[in-house]
Amino acid sequence: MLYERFFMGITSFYFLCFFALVLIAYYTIPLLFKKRGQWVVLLFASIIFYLFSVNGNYVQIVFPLAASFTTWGLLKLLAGTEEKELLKRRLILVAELVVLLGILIVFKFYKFITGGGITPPTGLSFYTFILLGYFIEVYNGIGVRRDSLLETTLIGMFFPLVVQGPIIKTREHSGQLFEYHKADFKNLTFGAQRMLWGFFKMLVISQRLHTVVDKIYAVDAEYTGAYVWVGTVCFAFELYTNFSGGIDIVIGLSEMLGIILPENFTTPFFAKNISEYWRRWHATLGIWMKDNVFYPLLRTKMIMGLGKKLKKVFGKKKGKQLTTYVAMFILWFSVGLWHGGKATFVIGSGLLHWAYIVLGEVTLPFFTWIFEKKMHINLQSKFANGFRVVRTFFFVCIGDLFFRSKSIPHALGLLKRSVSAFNPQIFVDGSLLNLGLTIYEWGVLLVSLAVLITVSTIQYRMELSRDGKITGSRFEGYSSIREYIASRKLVIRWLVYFALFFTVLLLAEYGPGFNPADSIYDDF
Amino acid sequence: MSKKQIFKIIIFIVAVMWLIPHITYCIRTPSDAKDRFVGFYAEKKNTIDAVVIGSSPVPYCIATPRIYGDMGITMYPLSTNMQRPVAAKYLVEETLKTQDPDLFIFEMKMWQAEDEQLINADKDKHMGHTREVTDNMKYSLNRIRAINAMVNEDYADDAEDSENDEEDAENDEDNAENAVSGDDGKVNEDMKRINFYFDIFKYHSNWKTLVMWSQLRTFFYEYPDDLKGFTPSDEVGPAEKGNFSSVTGVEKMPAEQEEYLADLISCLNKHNKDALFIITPFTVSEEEQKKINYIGEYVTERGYKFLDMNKHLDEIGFDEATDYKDGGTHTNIVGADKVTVWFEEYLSEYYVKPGILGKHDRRHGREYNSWKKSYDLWMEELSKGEEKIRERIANGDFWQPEGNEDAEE
Repeated sequence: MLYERFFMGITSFYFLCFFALVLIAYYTIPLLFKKRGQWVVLLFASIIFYLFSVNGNYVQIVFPLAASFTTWGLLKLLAGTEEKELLKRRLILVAELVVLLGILIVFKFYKFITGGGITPPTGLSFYTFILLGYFIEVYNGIGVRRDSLLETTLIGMFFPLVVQGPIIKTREHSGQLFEYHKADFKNLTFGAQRMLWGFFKMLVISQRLHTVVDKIYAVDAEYTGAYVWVGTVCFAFELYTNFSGGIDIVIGLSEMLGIILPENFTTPFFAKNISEYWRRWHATLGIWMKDNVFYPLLRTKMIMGLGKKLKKVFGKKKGKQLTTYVAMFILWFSVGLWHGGKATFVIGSGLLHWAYIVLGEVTLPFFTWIFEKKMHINLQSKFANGFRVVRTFFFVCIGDLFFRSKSIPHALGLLKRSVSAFNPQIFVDGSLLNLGLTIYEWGVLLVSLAVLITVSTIQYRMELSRDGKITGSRFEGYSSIREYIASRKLVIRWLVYFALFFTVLLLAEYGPGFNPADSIYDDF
Repeated sequence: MSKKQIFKIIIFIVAVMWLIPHITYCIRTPSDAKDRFVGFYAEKKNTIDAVVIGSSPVPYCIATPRIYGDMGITMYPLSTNMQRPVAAKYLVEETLKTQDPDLFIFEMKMWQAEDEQLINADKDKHMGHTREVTDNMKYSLNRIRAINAMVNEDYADDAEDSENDEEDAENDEDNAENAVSGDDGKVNEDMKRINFYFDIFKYHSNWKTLVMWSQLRTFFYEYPDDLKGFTPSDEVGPAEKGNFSSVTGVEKMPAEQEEYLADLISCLNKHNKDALFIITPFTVSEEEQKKINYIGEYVTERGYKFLDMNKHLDEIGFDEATDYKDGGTHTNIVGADKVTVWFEEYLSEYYVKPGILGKHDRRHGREYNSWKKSYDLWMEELSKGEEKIRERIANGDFWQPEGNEDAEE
């Protein structure tokens, strides 16, 4: 079968060949048409890519096409209305929400209630959110409507984004899809380097972590104590390297096309609290949710009415706080549900994080009093900040434990087993070699993780330096590590590029005899 | 983009493209076959008199260093385990890129087996035997052609289809799907040509071997082989005396192999090359012997010589009880010595005297130093091997069939 032979997962050989052809077509064909029509190349590429990404379920293409058509048609209707025709405009909005969210809810919520049944179409969550965001922006008068159905289809199906995001704000980013882009040396080389870094994260690190996690999180596994923590930390890094690696590839290849996408991950494991973590982890989802769920929710009659009642009972400040917590509950429930129709997702990536944030805010004065007044700890010290980073990572890991488990009882069982034995000896007695990785594989994994952490630390320090929080850094004045490397001598930088390329080529897990783990976010 | 920037990108891509095949050469799985091919590519241009193409009995049985030492003839085997006959033509083409041998010698044991049977046996080994041919060739158009000829992505479907002619189309499709797919329902990656063209997809996981000098030295896929492709064995695996070599009946060889043979002969004609077709000693069954007889007649009718060594075991002085390494498939070093000495006489009579072989005595000249060393090494190996084999026979230390890789043929 054609799709089996040429399946185009984002890390597959055929995808790279496909992208190379797209790149050539993208920069040459428009030259024949007075630099017009570059976006048409993208549209064709997007449709072809989608067809080769759906594992032979070609009918799935109906969903993004229908979502694009609906959005285009309803926006056209909306354009024909007057500002004063509020009811008509709202009806159009409701129609868009019903159709797009309807499909999403049918697939996600059905699974949530029944515990299985239908596999959602590839990229459903991503194109739905992008198109909905686009519609709402135009509805609110802050976005520009595209007249053409084909242009709207490209917004929904732009191939780098359709499988795993990031979820772009169309008013900020989609304009680039329709502009003419000249081949630019920096975009091409930096984009390729970003892709390579993504491959390194996904295929060298994430795949190896996947082997360990799979063993420890197997439903019939009986691992206890330190094993569970090893599995959980490995999963936190697996999820990060898999998802952010995929995003690096997407951002990199878009950059090669001259299209600059928003960052989705900015060193999330350096976050000092959960709110900051979500500003750094899958940031575009957080922004989308705030813009299109949280703020509109706060403006609804229901929440405003609740706010008034709570203010009466608890006073102005506490009443407002409680109202926000209720709205946040709905927000986090939606975030959890977006990740998949399973209770483990709703808790692990949603409600547990809501609880962290609420408890964090509620207990902040108490803990500040304890640490500052009673224990005389300087809360601005490096130690305190380091502690916050570790604490946040720990809480994230607990969420990830739920996220990765097969069911809530499975997650609770793992938590129970994690403290049922004290077995730190597994780190030295060779027990870890029974988790599916040889000593060499562990060596590659640990060295690769060390490289990743070093790079992340540099990125974090660059951020602090940009914000003026530290000075005198070697990387001061550089916006990215790629820029820093590009400023080195040719021999040095080529050595770095060759080293990374051949590290990926040789150490990545792919090829015959190897069964790759699917991109974790592909199903979302 | 400036011209300088375009130039930089091109240089970078070219450098990467140049490095990829060479690094692939280094991480191809180390094996005797790899050493043999790497050794062949290392031979100086137009210095090989005869090339032996065939399956695994060849390197165990024909002591090429001895032939050099005794006759001044350079003979090199391009043999691999269970070599499928379809490969022969491509190995001839590969040879002719750097050498101009006076004689091609084809070992014909595999030619009486159906190709489908060989592929099915190979599938259990992730197409390892097919890969021994394709993945030991340097990158070239000929290699691509060899892959196209040897790897058929639709093979599993076809095989199932042919077995299910009677059944309805729906069942046929189901069976075909099962055949291409593994237990997990994924397409059989072992059968994909793309994984052959770019064999780094398979071998990259050998990265650990990159610390070995024996791997690094294959960067250009050229490094002399100490024993010129010969593989010594000091094991003893007795076979029962007497086989079906005296059978005179004839049975048609498999049709596809006959086609390959016709194709091979036209390739030889095209290049105006002489050939000798041989069967080296092995325990032959009646059916096999009949097909071998057919092959013999086929090539003889077309003007080539055919030598079935099984029919000359007494003249060779071959002892089935002591000269096989694994119960009747491959010879040990003592068996190899006997076969080689006898084969030298045969070559002398039919190829050296008529002036086909041995036009130059290669024992003179510095460019053959590595051959001289190989002869010395062979003598050393033979003397050690003889002693060890005597010891094994005295102690009853014989090869056991279980778990022996070479017993597969």
